[in-house]
Amino acid sequence: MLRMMKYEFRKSRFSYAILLAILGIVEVLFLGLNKFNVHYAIIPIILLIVMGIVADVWIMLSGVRMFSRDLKEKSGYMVYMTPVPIWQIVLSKVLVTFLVSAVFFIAYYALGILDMHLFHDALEANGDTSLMEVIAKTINTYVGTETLIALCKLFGNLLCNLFCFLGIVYFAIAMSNTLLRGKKGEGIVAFILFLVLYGLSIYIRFKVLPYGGQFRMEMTESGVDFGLPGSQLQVALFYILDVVFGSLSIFGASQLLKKHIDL
Amino acid sequence: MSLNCNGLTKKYFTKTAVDHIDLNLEAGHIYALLGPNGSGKSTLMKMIAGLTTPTEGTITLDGQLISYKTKAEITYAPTEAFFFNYMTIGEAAKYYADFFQDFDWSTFREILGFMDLREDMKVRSLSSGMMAKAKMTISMARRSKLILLDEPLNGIDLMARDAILKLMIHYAPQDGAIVISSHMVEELEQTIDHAIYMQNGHIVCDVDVEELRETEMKSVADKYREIYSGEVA
Repeated sequence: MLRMMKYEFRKSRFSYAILLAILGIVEVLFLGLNKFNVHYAIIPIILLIVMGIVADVWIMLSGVRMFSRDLKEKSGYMVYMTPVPIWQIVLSKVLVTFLVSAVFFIAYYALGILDMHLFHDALEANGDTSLMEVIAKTINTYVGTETLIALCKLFGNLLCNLFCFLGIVYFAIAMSNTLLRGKKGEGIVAFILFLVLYGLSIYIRFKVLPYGGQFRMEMTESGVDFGLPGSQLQVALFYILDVVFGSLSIFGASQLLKKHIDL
Repeated sequence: MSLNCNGLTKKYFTKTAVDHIDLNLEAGHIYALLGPNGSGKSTLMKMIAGLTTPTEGTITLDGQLISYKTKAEITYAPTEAFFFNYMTIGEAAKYYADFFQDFDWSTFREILGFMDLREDMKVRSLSSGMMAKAKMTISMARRSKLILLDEPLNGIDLMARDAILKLMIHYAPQDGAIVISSHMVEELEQTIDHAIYMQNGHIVCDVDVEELRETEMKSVADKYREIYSGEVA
């Protein structure tokens, strides 16, 4: 499966390189502004945060598009002719998208925090105390211990959600491909199937947690507090359900593809 | 090597592509799978290659049911170009070497030279003839038990076709078999030793080419015309 993941990664390496290049350009912009015009340096920091989210969405869409393409284009034979179980092929695609999204998210976030520190130091050197205090409080908020714990919880929640999301997307695409076999409308049918399946998974998850399963995220003096209502067991079930739905979807997709690959 | 198909059937929603086929393939032969468009040749090949599961019947390779494991012993080359666009010929070969233990680099390089290709050639810049040669090079570099070539001669010039046919004879596995599906019946005549004719998902005739020549005094092409037009040569 690692070999499959290696080649899955290579298929999209150009996209990843572009995202890294953008990260580099924004960072260079920040470093330049931080040195020569510190008051505008907040702009690239905000850009980094936004780009982190955009990059993750782009990577997910890219992964989904690649999976769909492998079921339509002849290059899919390169994948499905290998002596690798279909479930491993599907799982490798999900994991590569999942891991690359996670890495980019962390990279953008970590760079954003580092730049905040540099920005703070530049403001201090500039004698701009009022803005400096705001930045210092923001840094404490985003890198304090309590905040980091809260972020790990949020990150864990997002990762489980992402795994479930990707699994269901791939299952919907496999179902649509099986039903329509290259006819027009495959994309729309896949989208509708995804909405139904993902909606069902959300409904089941919300049944597990009380109060509609809403999470809370509060800014406090010492940082950010994040949590889900309900007991620890219910919260754990919430995460486990995500992983179960994702795994069942991957299994379902592989069973459908095992029956028929028609490129 | 022995491939056995028993009662093999593939049905789709509105169509039966392969209908209760019984077929045995033995090592040491080059088989031609012949028939008009829609006769079930590609579907049969895809079932043997493990890309499609039969609706009914079984396929076994040396007694083992076709599954993802048998893909390690079967080479399948579809009609169209199928390498990843970003690859060079060398990278496509590396991909095969990574996944298939029977891929032989020395055979690959030998055939590559014979075909007048280079490892650093980008797949997306190859002409149709060069692509056909590249597919054949990589397919024949695998020392598999069974090599399935789906219309390998389509859309390529005479010189490239000659090169591919020579390659097939020279590099055919001694302990394996090659199955070629093609419409170019006359060109295959000198290469194959067994012809399987299909129509509407059935095998209508399965002959040894030498026997056909000696007993019926017909070529493979003559037999083809006889079966599909109803004329007697």
